[in-house]
Amino acid sequence: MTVTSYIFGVASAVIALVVVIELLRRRRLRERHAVWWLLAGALALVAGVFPGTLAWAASIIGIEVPINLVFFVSIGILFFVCLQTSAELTRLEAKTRTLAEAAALQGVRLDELETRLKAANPPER
Amino acid sequence: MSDVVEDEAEKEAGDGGEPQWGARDGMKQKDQPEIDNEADSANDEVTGCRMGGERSTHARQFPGLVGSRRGLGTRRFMRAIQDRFSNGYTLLRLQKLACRLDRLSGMSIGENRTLVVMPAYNEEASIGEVIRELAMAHPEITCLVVDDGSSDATVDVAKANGAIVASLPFNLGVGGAMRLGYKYGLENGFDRVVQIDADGQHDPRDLEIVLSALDEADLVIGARFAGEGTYAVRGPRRWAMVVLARTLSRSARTRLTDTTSGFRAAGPRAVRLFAEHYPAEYLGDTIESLVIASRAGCVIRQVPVTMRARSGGVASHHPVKAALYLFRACLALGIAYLGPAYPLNEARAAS
Repeated sequence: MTVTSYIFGVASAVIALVVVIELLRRRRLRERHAVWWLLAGALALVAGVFPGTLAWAASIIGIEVPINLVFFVSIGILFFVCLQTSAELTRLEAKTRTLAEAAALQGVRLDELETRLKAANPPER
Repeated sequence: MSDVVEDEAEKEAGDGGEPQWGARDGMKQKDQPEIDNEADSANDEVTGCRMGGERSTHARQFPGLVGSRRGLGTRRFMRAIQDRFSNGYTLLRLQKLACRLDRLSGMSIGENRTLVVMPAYNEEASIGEVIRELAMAHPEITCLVVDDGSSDATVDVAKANGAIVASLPFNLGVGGAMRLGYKYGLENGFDRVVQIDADGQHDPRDLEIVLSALDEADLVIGARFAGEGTYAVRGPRRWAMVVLARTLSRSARTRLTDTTSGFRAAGPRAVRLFAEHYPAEYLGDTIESLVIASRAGCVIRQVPVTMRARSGGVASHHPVKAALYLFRACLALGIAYLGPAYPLNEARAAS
């Protein structure tokens, strides 16, 4: 491993973490959505700063080529992020549905009130 | 003015028994024993789940009488004045007046308030006729049209014909529209909610059959037996229907043949359940709602109704589409059984 690739790895992890934390700080990302991204950034930083930990973890699980562990964990994290997004979408759809119902019910009430109001105050002339 | 109207209404009430109503009564008497037997056996199985009460015993003693005589005079009265007033608004006012008189003169049987909900998505061509037909057959019943994000004149046509219209801002599907209907029913004190398709395939006059069966059940499905000849299906779509009918019959503890019928009536307990938990997914309004109802302990019944030819659109016979339908139906069924079982909310019944 060259010094350049070492620096490149560490810098990528730091940039990822900084972006996530900045979004969190500006309230552009809620923390329950950021958990997976923070986890991914932290793992990348650890593996970047101490490449030995990656080889050690791979040998414990029994993975011969350590880089495969990186791929496995990355895909796993992306999978969970997608799943969480889908679940969130479903929740939002349910909320939208309830809102739409409430709006429609208000509409009916308004219609009825307007009709009654017109009946009570017939236009003069 | 109102005195005159009342006199007329009462006079009309005296000479009951029009030929077609007599015929319908006869038909109902034929059906009644079967319904009673089923209901009794269900009572043994599901002890304490029924809405026991004077009304249901009344229905058993006088089969065919309950509901069918309701508002008889008003109906003829309405027919007479309809020639004079074709204006929808005037008609609505008169209907409400007649309905009030009906209640005052003690002609209506039972204190049940019934709401008819029509989910409508771009149905401007047929919905006016359906509403008018319903108003003719049952002037005392409130009609709510749920506009499911239509882009045509459905709302205007429905309003012009005197229906209450609830407009959803975008399309939610039949399930979404129906939950809104149940919510409206619950909030406005309706005991019974009936779903009728806006395309005119259901005959509003069958409402009586479905409603009288509701005395013995929480959920009544109007099944399309009569049109079976024209409704022949083969291949995967048929398998899907058989699988659905078998599975749902078992969990509903009664024989269901037409599980995807859009003609169904819900009693007070089912209305409360559905106002909370009516699913909006694909096939949720037919399959999953039945599963939810049966798992909550609702008593489900099926009664035969006539089905008229649909004005547009027939069930697809394309094999790939039919196979997809089978797959999605099984998926919907599986998910419905995996989901949580909701209890019937009895507490809110008291309030």
